[in-house]
Amino acid sequence: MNTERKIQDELSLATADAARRTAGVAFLRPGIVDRLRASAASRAGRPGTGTAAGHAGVRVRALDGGPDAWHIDIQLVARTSHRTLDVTRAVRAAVAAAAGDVLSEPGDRVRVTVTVVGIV
Amino acid sequence: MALNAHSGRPGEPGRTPDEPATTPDEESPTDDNALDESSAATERAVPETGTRENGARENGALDARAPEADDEELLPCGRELSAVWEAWEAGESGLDPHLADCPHCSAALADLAALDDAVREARADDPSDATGLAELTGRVMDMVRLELRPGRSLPLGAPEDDAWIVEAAAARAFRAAAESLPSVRAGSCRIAPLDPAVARRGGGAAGGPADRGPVQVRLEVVAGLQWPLPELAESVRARVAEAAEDAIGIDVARIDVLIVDVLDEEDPAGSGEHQEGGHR
Repeated sequence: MNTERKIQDELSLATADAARRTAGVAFLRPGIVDRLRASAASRAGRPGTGTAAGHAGVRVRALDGGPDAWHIDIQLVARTSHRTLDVTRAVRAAVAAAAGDVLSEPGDRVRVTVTVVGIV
Repeated sequence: MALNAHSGRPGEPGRTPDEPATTPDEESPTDDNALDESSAATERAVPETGTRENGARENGALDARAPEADDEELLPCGRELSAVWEAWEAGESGLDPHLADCPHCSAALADLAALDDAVREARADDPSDATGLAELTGRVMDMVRLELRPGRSLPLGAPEDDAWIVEAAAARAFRAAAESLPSVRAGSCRIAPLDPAVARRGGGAAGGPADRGPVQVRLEVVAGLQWPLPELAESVRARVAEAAEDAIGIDVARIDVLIVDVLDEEDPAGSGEHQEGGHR
């Protein structure tokens, strides 16, 4: 596994965990459609979408073609008991902190976006 | 004058499947939904910006077709996965011979049936909880719909928040806010950037700073006869504005309320025929 892929996986795990633990988060986007697509693609003999099981709510990609700049997009379902915007702010802070623990280089840059895909 | 000129689509994101299908016809956030200039409507900008006619022309963002979500899935046979699923949910899959004959559609439906079975089996330990089972199944299917047709991403908070909410999720909250009023049923709810230029380039994923800005809401409702129409519109607008600010945190600059029908007293659930010819 190359370094970039390793960092990507570590970021996915760490930030997903941080987001899930944030108050007001019901769950991350479950990726039901991705799972069904993968199943349908398998039956049809086509490659799936490549979305990792269990990580549908987190998308991590390198920016500018290098391992020192990352875009982390968290997709979550929020609870009605919390103001949605406040939840996204808390998630953003938690995810940024978790990413900082993974990325040790001071020059590393991270853009964190939070998308609410449902409210329950 | 046709009050319901737009064809309904079963399984709109944000609706529970057991809700009556006879409320105003609804569209998914990604459907065409041109404003009907002649429909019985009462609406006003927040703050007030003018009549319905000039408002509709000045703010054409809601008329613009929102770009399809990035993850719209086409089966190898050319059918949209979402359309195949919706036919199944509506109980109409048996009416289309293609769905039975096509291996791709059949496989997609088998997957969906497997999901449905899995949810039911998960609750089989408590067969007495039929209401809970139906509710859970409905919530799972709601989530499937949201994933299939999330609509555009709308900005939450300030630019530095870099937070977004999909249209379907916000629309559901606004509909619920309207329906917190007695004898009010909400139908189609469209949300789009107030700036038509932003609306035209909006997409299904979180955008950048240029994609941010206030949004406008267009909500269709039906209500009981006891409501004076101006009071109804004001009350719905107030509930939606309150939900936008207090529950979500989205900057809503304009709320248009279209009263598309009224309900007879004997028909509080809205199961009657929609009236042709305007409001009463």
